[in-house]
Amino acid sequence: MRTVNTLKTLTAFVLAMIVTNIKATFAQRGAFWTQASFMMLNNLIFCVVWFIFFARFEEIRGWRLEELLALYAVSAFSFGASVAITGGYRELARMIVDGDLDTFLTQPKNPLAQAVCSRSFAMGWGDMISGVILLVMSGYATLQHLPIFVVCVLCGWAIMVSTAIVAHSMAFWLGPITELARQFTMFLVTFSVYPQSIYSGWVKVLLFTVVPAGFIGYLPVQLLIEFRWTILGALVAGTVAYVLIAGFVFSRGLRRYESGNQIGLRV
Amino acid sequence: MGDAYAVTRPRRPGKYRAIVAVAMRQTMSQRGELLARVLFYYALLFVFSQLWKVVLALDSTLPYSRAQMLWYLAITEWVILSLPDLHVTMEKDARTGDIAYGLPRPISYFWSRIAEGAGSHVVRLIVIGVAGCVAATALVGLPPDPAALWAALATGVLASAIGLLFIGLIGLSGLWLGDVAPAYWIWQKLTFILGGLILPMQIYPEWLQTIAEWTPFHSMLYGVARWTLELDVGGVVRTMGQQLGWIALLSTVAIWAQAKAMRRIEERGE
Repeated sequence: MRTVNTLKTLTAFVLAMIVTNIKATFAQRGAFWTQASFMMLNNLIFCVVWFIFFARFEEIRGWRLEELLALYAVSAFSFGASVAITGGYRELARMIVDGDLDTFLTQPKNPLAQAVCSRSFAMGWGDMISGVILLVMSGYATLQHLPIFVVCVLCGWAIMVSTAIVAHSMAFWLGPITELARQFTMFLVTFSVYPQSIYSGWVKVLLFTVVPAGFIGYLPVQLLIEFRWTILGALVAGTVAYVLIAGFVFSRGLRRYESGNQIGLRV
Repeated sequence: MGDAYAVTRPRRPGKYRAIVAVAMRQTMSQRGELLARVLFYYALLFVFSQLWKVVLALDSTLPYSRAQMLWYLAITEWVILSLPDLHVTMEKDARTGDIAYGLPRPISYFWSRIAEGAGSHVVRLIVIGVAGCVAATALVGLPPDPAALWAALATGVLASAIGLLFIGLIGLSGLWLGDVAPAYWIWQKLTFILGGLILPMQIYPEWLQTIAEWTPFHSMLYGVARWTLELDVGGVVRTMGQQLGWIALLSTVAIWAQAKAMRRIEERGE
């Protein structure tokens, strides 16, 4: 019962932080619309490459342009949500090294949730909008597919943030690794946006373990192509596992955390 | 203050050489950043080595081999990934007002930043270039005509100068735009599409090939990597001529933009 109450309080707190972040991002309207619209344009321009590709080649092991656009839709929306709503993860390694977690540790709420929800990037909204546009272009924006899409982007978002937390938490042991941790996230995005039907053997194993792009791209597209409960179960189970691993690694690392002796204030 | 106007062109090469040397040393000391770029480069090469393996096995009508296609990508990505994040530094200068501190110095702000970027760029070209050659050879062997690498090196250096000037101009636009990230994203994506970052121009529809040929992106990426597909010495020379033309044009724009920027700073104090 106590765990349920703690979870309820944490969820309410996280939601309140997310709402505050969104309000703060929308407050700077000019910057918001510029960044969001240019990011949207940026994603759509990049997709031109696949239009050219599929005009020349018919398919890549069963994946056609429609599946590629669906893959982009899920990946762009998941990444967009991760930076627009929980963008603090991108600064986690720096916060650990600079001792910036002090301000979160002094408050009676989960420090990881506070750190992750402490930043919001307007460009993420552009990613999310382009995700919706790409889904419509893919032909998978039907009533039958929409609930699947929602579940897929929620899982993709959670996995992106969780793996980034694990990578950034390595700073507890290794010191200043911000650039490498960010690069790891880019790895994940890179492997997520290319058709994963091209991999086989040990690479496929890696894509469901160390760099879990398979959960962000491959499984969602397979679900959209043909819904199967076993695939959905694997997707949800994988997501829960990565969230738990992220929480565990961060809490272990926090034991090694040293204060930065900085005087800080969060408003 | 007047000196800032007088040095809109780099007239004191000694000072710029010193800046290039310092930037080279700084970049060499940032091993983590270099490693991160190389690892990202490796990830891309691996993804595309798998992609071309599958695609070319299914479709044999493309007249190029997997080795040619991967070396093509290795070279275009070499040019792109070696470019420094100069626009970020210049945007920060504009936002914090640091750009104004550079005015009394007897050196042009724009060209000193370009020199800084060039120093960083040279180190990255060498490190990423060597890393790319090793990875591509390990994945698909040497390019069918290894002489293509010399052609890529010659055209790659000039292409890098085009890229650096573009990034410098985007950075300078921070004075007017405030945030240069959107301009950079669009420029980057135009380079990807019109430069043929992933797919060689031969795969493009003819109308898009024609448009691309009239842009600097064409000679910045495709003009460097195309020699892995078909080496033509006359073509290399023609491409270098086109690249020099684009460098001259972009330099002229840069001199004009720097003068406008300095006037704006002096009038508005921002």
